[in-house]
Amino acid sequence: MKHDEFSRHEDNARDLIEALGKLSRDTQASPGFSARVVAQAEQVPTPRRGALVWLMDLPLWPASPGWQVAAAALCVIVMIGAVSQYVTWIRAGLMGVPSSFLHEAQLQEQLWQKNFECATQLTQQSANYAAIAGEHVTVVTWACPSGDVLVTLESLSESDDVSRRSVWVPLDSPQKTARFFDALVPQAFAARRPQFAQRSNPVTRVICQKRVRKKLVKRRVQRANGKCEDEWIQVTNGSVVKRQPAPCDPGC
Amino acid sequence: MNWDRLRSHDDAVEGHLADGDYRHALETLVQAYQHAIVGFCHNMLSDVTHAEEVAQDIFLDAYKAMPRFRQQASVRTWLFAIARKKCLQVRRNRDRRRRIVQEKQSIIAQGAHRDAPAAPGEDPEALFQLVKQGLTQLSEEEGSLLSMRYDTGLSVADIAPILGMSTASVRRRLAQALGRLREVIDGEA
Repeated sequence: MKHDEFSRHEDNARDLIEALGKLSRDTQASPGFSARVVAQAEQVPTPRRGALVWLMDLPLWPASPGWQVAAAALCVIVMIGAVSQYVTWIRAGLMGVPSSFLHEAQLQEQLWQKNFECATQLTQQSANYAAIAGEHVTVVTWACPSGDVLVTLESLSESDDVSRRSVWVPLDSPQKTARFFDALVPQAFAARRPQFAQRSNPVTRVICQKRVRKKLVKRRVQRANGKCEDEWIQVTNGSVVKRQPAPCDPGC
Repeated sequence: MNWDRLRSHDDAVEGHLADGDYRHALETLVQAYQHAIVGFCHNMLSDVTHAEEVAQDIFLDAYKAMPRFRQQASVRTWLFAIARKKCLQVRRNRDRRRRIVQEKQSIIAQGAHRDAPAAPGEDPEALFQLVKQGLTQLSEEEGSLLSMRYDTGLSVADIAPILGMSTASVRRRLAQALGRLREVIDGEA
């Protein structure tokens, strides 16, 4: 109803409004009312702000009780529904990886644990070893009996550590895959060997290997040029976080 | 009701609430609003003695609710929302008890006669008595609305958040309630 229309209604009911205005003319709180209320208030515990009172202070928090209950229920549902996301964030935080990368990081950690012994036995002489040299990178693959393959990628630039990574590629059918690699790898290696030999010094052997921390593996590798070095691999993402020259003995 | 005079009290109450000093907030609130709230309860309940008891409960309810006071609402709006809710609750309980008693005494009640209403004519006092009687025949919603607006003197803008509706809806309901009151009085007279 518009203001003018309402004003007309009020004008027509002016006598009623005047009478209504006298309703409590003789009604006053009795003397001592205020003191009685304050005395009663002293009997009840001092009110405190509840844990969720901050919700009420939100500008968009509804004022009516019905909507408040609905909004609170919605908040609870949203919070419960997001529990799995919170768990993911916490786990990712503990592992030190982005949450979107958590599954992959956990998988890599499991594969390092599962194939730790196998990775120690990496050698160029094995039929499970293969290396391929491209324009800018070399790729060394090492297939384990489990079917999982350790893939080591190296930049041709010796100073570029960022592109040096060792990651596991899990395979679902170990026996079939192992046979597949037995057949494929020597052929691929044989085909690429001259090119690879000219362009880089890929890892040809793991001399020794140990777990330094839960998510860090140190291994001593020998390269195609016969030189050895230690490298520290972050197992969650396969990156080589540190490397340094080392003697070619198994003193990890 | 001199609302401008109360504004400084409202500011003081808000200051105490912001500081978490609920005891002083209550004292200021009672000093400022005791007569308005007792009058409002009287209109709602038609019982001055009971009105004062209910008014005490209203201030205690307000005291307990102080930590939940939202600065978006004015102190006045907030207090009258509590008062209206409490009075409606008390009135419903009382009406329910009365109905039970009336049902038990239905035979006696049939024989009882109502006081003859005063003729309104030009006599403002007669009209006042008719308005008082007429209010009891309106719904509790209509009664509380008319009381808040024309006796307590709250503005339409103050009443709207108390009832949780728009100012246009409040104006429409006020107009309807005035119309209903006129019908009831004309029927009585």
